[in-house]
Amino acid sequence: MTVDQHIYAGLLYSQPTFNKGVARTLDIWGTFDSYNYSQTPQEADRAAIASDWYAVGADLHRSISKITSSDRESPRHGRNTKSK
Amino acid sequence: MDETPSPNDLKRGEYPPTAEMTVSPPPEKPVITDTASTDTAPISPDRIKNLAANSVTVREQYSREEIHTGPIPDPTTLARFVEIYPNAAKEIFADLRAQSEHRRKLEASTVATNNTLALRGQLIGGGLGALGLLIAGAIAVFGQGLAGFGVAAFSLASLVTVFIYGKQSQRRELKEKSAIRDSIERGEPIEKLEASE
Repeated sequence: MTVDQHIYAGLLYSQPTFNKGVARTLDIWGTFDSYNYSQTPQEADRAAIASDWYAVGADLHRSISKITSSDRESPRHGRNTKSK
Repeated sequence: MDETPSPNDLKRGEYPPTAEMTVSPPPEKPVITDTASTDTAPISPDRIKNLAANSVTVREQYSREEIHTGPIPDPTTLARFVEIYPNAAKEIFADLRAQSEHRRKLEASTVATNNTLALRGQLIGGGLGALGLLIAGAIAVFGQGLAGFGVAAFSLASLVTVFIYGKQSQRRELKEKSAIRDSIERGEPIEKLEASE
């Protein structure tokens, strides 16, 4: 499963695409679209807010991983490596 | 002179300083206390005083556990944040509000885009379908009925294929998102979610 960078922002619905738009040509009865339904609006809000914070966490996690891996490749050890 | 007291002079718990000591049970009947009593009622203060008076150490132990889950810290933690940074609560709530507004805008934008794409897709798909049927009709008019039927069938089959493919793609996407949502509901750490890429 591929976790897209922005997937946390839209867990309740599917992202619109042009292909899906073409597919709607035959959607005469309006049954094409479906959603990840919730029992109550409050539950949907809770899930959406939680996924928003997971998006923030994922952003931090990716940044930390990136910095950690770049530090591993060229450790700085708190010293200025630029020559004056 | 041997000053060893007679066993009859000794008090209870005292033993004569002899090299050999015989331990025997006390003459009276042993007192058996039920230590596995199911009596869970709290010990009354009078009973505690009574036990303390009899040199019994009374130890009372209390434990308290609080668990909080949610997008914002619990009030106690929030208050501690405020102790070290006075604007913490204000900024956390402002951030929460901004996140909620951002999410609603994003959802509104998605719905608007969804509608636009649906309309555009319907127009293009319908146009192509109509064009296919017109061409099929023209071919049939010029005496190639079977070829005209073939073009019409191909045109409609293309639209049906796109519809089925689009529906399956949507179901697959929603299923993946539902699995991620369940992981979030269970409170799984972000590292685990990100590792599932």
